[in-house]
Amino acid sequence: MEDVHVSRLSNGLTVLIQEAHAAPVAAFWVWYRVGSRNERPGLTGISHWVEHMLFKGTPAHPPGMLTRLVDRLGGRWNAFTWKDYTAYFELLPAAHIDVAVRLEADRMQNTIFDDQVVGSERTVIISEREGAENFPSYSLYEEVEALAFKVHPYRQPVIGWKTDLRLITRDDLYGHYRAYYHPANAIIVAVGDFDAAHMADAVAGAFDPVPAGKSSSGVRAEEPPQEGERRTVLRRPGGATAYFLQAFHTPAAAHPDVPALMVLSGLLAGFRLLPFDGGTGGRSSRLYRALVDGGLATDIDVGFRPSIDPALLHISATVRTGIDVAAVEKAVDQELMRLHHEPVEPVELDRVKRQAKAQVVYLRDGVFRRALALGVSAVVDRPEALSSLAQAVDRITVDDVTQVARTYLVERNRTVGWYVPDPAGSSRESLS
Amino acid sequence: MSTIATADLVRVVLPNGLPVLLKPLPGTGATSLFAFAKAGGMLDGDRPGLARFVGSMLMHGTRARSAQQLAEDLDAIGASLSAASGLEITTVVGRALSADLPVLVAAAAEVLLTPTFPPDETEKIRGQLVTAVRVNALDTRAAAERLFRRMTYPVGHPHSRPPDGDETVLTSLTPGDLLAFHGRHFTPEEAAVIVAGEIDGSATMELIQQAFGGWRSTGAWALPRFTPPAPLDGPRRASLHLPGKTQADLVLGGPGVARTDDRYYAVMMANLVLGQLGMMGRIGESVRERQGMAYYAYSDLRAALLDGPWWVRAGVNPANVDRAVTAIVHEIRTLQHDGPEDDELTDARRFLVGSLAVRLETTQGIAQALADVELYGLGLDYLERYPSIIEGVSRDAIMAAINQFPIDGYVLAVAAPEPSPAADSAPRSHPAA
Repeated sequence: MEDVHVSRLSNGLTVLIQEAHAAPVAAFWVWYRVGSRNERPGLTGISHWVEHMLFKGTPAHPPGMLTRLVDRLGGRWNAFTWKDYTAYFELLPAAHIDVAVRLEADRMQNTIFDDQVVGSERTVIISEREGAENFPSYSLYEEVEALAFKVHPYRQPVIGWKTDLRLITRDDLYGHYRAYYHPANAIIVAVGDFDAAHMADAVAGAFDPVPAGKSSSGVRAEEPPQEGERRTVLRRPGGATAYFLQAFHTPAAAHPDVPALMVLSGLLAGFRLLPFDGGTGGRSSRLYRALVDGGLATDIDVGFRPSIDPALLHISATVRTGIDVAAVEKAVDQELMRLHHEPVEPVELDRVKRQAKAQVVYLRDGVFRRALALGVSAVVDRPEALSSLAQAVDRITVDDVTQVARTYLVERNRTVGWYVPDPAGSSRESLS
Repeated sequence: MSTIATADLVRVVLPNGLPVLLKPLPGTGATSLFAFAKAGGMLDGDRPGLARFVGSMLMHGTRARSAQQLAEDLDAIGASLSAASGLEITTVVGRALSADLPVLVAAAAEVLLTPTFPPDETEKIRGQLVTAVRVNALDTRAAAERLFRRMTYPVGHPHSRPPDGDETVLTSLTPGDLLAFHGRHFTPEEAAVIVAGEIDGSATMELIQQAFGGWRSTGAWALPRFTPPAPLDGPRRASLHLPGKTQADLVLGGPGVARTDDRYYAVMMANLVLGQLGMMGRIGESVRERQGMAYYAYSDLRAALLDGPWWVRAGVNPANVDRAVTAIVHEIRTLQHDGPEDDELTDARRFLVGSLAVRLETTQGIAQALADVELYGLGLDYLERYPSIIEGVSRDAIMAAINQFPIDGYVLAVAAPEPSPAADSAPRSHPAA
């Protein structure tokens, strides 16, 4: 992206700042390089739980004060945890963005981990997990992830296994916080209607005093190559229709094949610059045509989220009631075989590139998503990655697409999951 | 003040009665379009799901283009366009690069004015809608809401119905039914088109005039009136048990107010204190923060053209349903008895005024806000007047609004996992605690 000021404080904090003056607002994000990727068995879900704890207060901002501070200014704030990162954000009227800077500097080092609050949050998080368990599609996702990875911690759910959530202690949480919440393990992204130099001063003033902290050990686990298809069928009551999910191992964000894989995903289901977005295209894509227009599924999705370590490209579908999930799998296979054997039409490739170019422009519309895009690129790759990715996508050729399809979207590299509703369960409904 | 200036905001009513609002925003490179027609489930009559079917079909074939051609044309420029019908209105929402605005406007006009409801596309969409109905029937959140609606609103009231329609209706509707609904209810006087973004105002107005000027009026109509729910003389509770679930979801509340009601701002602010502000207001503070029972526990006011529900929603472990209900009822009664703290009211006012700038962060946010201005007749200077409106809501009005929550006659709907075999599995009906 143009005009992004990248700097590094002496304590190792990376800072990305960009002015944007279309609206009188500003976004401030802190990205920590910690997520379920950094978790050991028995402690799964701990990164997400620490994220919850960062809303519980500090000595300078007692419980309840943090949220009041942001609310009073009309701001929006929240956080989320993923496999590679934990991200915190504030979106505020630009005149008040300094509040976010001070708040984030404070909770980076001074969050209170009170025993009683930890206990209360345990059941909140178990409730969050149980809410997700109500959806068969979530359970299928967990099954497929755990099967696709044998070794790498990407196999673990971000929210954690319920048994671990029952056992994690206050000291486990505090130790995790201390290990990963320090400047050298964080990236600041600020985008908004401010003067970049003023923002740089504010960030330096608030974060310079924070001690650098010890660098945490990296993730050593490396997933061995998959040598044959893996398959799981989840059967349980609670679902009205079947779900299909297929995952292929793909390389890490910094790998040169990633732009071609993004284009490939765009051909299959519409291009998506940001993995969180619904994308702009889609209804003319190959899988939409074959599955949704074909009357086999009610929706389809291709999820490809470039990650620090080699991860997965997911193809998913909600099967239309009355349709056999096997028919959906067969139709997906046929589309993948087409990609192996027939060169993509240039007009189709151009359509995906136009979607990519438009999405780059759309990033200028608003500060929140622009900061998000910068942050996620910086944390899984490097600060300049977003801008070079957009250029790389534009250079992808028909042959590049065929090559990555033949390399990654192959049977031996895939894990296939079906959710099939248990018919015995679907009729046990009692109403009073 | 952090609001958008009305100086360059343009509103023109075309000769056919269609209001058009334009807001230029230089520097974004993008444009957002938001169009609506006041045609939704409230006009379904005895065929719930009819409007939803119509809305789902708008993108699937017009007089000028097939569904596939339309999809290709939009995807070829990286634009997005979607259509959907809710309870009250049908929306057509899109985005395109500024240079591609003519394509977006033409496509939006086509889908709103000249959908053809081709039989093959109708069958595809029917399958999708029926699947969604069945999925929602086994979704605890959706099921609790459906049960709440049925218990709260009289038969025939739009809010009494499942938002996703009725399966038997969806399976019986014909393309002719859809076409007839569209022909009868989509009329320019009861619609609007809003464009915000990097645009040339006069060129854009000309574009819209060309695309929408041929929309023939079928006559303005008044909002239908529906029998309001009768107040209850005591709480009513019902449970629904679904197989294969872990968590229970509950909805507790009653009817609220319409967006155009004089009491709207007071009720909206009362709701903020009750279940929105901070970590989901007083409800969240008690149920989630202090007692650790739920990941989500909040209150929500569905005020629009009709007086939708004012409800508290929470997801809890099935063993905690009664405890959560007791806590929710206690918080509401306490707030009704003691009123909000001065600090809470100050926070609510500051939040509402400050958050206006945040809501208007994107061209899409601005287009949406202007659509509300038009839909509810708020006036072009509404966004500038907003801070003074909020400051003008008195403490007494907010107190009165809080006491409007029907705590002595609320409805509680719970969708929970099936009880374990050891527990009593007989259907239950009993008054709430």
